[in-house]
Amino acid sequence: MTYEIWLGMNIMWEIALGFMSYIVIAAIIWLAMSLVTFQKKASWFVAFKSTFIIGIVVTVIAFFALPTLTLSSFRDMNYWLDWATLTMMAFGVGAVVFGFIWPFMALKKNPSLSHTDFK
Amino acid sequence: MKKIPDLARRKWLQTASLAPLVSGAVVLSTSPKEAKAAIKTNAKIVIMGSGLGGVAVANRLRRELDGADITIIDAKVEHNYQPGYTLVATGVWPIKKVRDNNADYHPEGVKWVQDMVISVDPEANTVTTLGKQKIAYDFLVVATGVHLDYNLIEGMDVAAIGQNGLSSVYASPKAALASWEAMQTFTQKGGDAIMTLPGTPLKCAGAPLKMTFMLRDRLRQAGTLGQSNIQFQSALNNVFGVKIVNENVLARWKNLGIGVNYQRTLTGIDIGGRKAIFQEANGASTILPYDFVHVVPPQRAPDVIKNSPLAWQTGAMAAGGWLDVNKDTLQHQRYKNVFGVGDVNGTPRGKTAATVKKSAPIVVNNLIEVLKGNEPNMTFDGYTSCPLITREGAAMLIEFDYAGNLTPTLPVIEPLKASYFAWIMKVGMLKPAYVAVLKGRV
Repeated sequence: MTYEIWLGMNIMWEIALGFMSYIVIAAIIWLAMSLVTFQKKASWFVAFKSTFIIGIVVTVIAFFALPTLTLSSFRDMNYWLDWATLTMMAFGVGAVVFGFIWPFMALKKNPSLSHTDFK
Repeated sequence: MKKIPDLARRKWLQTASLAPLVSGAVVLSTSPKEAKAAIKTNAKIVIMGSGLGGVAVANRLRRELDGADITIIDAKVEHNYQPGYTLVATGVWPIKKVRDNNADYHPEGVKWVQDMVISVDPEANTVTTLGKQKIAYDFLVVATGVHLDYNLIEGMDVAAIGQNGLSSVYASPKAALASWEAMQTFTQKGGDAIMTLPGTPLKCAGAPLKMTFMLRDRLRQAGTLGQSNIQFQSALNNVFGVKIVNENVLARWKNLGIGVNYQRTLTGIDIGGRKAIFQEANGASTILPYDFVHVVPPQRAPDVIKNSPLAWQTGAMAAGGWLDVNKDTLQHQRYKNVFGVGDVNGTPRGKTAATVKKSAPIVVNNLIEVLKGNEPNMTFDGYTSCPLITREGAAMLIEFDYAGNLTPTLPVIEPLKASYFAWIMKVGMLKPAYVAVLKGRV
């Protein structure tokens, strides 16, 4: 099983290499937004519920969209492993969206912050 | 006790949260550290071929040997992801996904002789290239792949693939793309399709079956299945060498209306006249007209091996000139400083990329053991894997060993079920896995 885990990590890494420029840009944007959010002392917890709901919505959309996007269909889900694969992929998409938009939502949810909050 | 300022604490937390990502990236971007130190040697190792097997072995040897003189000999500049050819030939992938550069995967410190070996003298431990270089070796790794013997099909012209309903997925990426074009033209109107299978060992024995399944699916998608007839002509008594898989495929084809005929060997083709000539078991000739044909060439070892002392001299593997290796250790049976990896091996099974994934580490380990004066101490079980596409969107993940036992990597996989999971593996994960094997990481 150790070999399979190592193989899985390498597969994910090689996939990521193919999109590395996009990943780096997204990471820079996310880090910048996170830094701004921390600096403005915005409350991440205030935004958690709405961000989580968006993440769930995206997960559901992904669940129904992924078969077509991967050139397949629901009729090709033949046993539990297929449903588990699709569900994990959909959750993965939802989790990425959740993580990425959280700092944006935290800032958006704290519009009453003023310069006097910075000490 | 002095309290850490909020801002400093938050900055530390931000940095700490990134550490796992950064360290993971560093681990995967650099060669994995071996638990043992690299072995010091000045051995000369020559690797014939820069396909998956040759490059994977080169990367591993470079990492595990300190000071070895390693040379890859291959004129091929382009590296092709051959497992992707059926995806190109059936319109799932664009051609660029199967074309890379060999230079991107060769390890640093390994010499690359851009030439072809034309003869091997295992008594003198030398190889001679087309450019008349004589290169000596202490150890030789044969990774030449197979020779596609289109010449055995009279009238066959590889350059004509894509025209007049002629397809053949094996020849090259361009041939795979041309095969897709021929398939598209055929599915617009439908008609009679002939799918062939020769009697020789094949690389990716599942490819002729995948082409058949996908052709049927493309006809269904185009709405011309009703006016089409697909007949599979096998030169053997089966369509796949693993009995349980053979039975499963035949049952599916019966349901899908795909006919099968046995002991029909494709011996000639009239491309312009769209006729395929088969030899029956009794020696009689049968001529079959077609609107679409998929030609699978008979395969054998390249001449450089077939015509050398390295080939099997007697037995079932001798006709194809396959490399005479011990099926367990992959060491040559007579020349103990020669090893084989990949399709050229004369073993009962195993001409797939997955075979190389499992066998390359064994070849490297056993070569190093022999280099140290020991006997090979790792054995290969003949692992072969074939993601057998059954239609666009589903595949069966077949894995088996020398004995024909199904050996799924994960116990949760049901090999004989056409599934979305196997499809995702095939179209999304196997090429990244292949690249990791090329780099010598897995």
